[in-house]
Amino acid sequence: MAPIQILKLQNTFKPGGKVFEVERAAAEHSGLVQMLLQDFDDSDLEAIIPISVDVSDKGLAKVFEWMTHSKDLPKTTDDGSVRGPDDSAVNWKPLTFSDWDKKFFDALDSEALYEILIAANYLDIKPLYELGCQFVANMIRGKTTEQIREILNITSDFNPEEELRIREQKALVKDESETAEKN
Amino acid sequence: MDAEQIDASQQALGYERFELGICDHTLDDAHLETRCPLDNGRHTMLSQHSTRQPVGRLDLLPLELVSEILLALDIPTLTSFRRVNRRAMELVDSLHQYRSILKHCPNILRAIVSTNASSYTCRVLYDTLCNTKCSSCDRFGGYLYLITCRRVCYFCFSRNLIYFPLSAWQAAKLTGLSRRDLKRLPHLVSLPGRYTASAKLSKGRTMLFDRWAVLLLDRAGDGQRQPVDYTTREPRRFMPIISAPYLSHAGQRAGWGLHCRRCERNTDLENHFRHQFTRDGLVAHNQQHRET
Repeated sequence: MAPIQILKLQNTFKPGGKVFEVERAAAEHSGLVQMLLQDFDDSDLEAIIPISVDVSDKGLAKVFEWMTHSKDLPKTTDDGSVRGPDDSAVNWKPLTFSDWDKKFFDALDSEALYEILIAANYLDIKPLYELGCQFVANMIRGKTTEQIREILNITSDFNPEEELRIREQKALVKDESETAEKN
Repeated sequence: MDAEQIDASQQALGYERFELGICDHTLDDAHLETRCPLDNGRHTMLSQHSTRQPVGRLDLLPLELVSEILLALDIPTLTSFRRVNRRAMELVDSLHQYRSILKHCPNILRAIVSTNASSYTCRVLYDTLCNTKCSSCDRFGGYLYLITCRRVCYFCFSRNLIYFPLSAWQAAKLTGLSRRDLKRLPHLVSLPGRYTASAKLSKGRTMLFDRWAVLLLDRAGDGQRQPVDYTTREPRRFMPIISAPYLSHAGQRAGWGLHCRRCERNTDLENHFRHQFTRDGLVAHNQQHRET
């Protein structure tokens, strides 16, 4: 068995960033790290690999936590087709949160969540940012416009007249269903 | 041959669905334009000088991540999000996937919003529209089965058991789930109207559940028994169906299925007049005619 290789990564966006030690198998989730590694000989892996992203060390630590936990997941997104009913190929792959992923994301506050998204996007960790985006999407899934405003802390900038029009339009669909149910 | 000539020669080979002379009474005929008017950019045009608000916390993220999040939303939620404020509208309208669906097949959006089919994301819808094959056979699928967003051909949606949805009562009986838990399964709420080629009237709105999703949870195996199925005369089979184009060139172009003129009177399954083809498919199909 090959010895476990440890990579040193440092965020150089701000001075004094912490040096993270990450297993190579975990770090290779990141397309960026894979690319950077090409510039390093296997012999000088002692050197610090610089990354530069506007994310706190705390956020990065979370990302590396996810990477370390998921180090055994396949690195390249395999397009192995998923089988649907009657064994037909489904052209999309449903995103599934493992129990660990669920706990991981549930424990985050919104600031940490966004930092992870930004870092995952920068480091090019496809599975992580897909999960993160789906997690944010799930937060507002099935919610009404007013509820979405509340969750994401958004203010409406429609004037009252527009607001009314939008509501009327929505009402058209609603009314239809209500009269239909009475029938 | 230039593009026009090719067009003309294909006109000679095939004809579109509405020339078939049969009205199948699917969601296409459910008066979607009046049921669910889309605003087509009317609101964004209004009072542009008014103060603009950001979309809250989402604006902390780079644009490609926001797009990624929006594409991970189902269509009913995406339209709710679109109403949040002007910036949100802009964001949704700038998704090229959403734009090309709106441009080429607004009725599909209308149908999804008014039936509240929310078990798949905008990205899945777009990807399905970019495909051409029926999900259950190798032919071109000219329709969408809106409960789970699967492309289907006429014969599969009218005959294959998995496209015969279950009522809420049946689904509850088979799975033993409460009404609330049932709603987690893929479903939609049908629109009142006439369905099937014989225009059977369905007055109320009923919840329709995806049969396959229900049968996965069916422990007792009662669902394995062959149900009473009137296939092409079964209104429930037509309620979640809408005709769909296939998008190409990154959503810039859309084509609708064509029927073969030579097969106009054929009723054997192999060359049935109901089969539709993509433009390329029709040319290949015609080649086969010539060879035999």
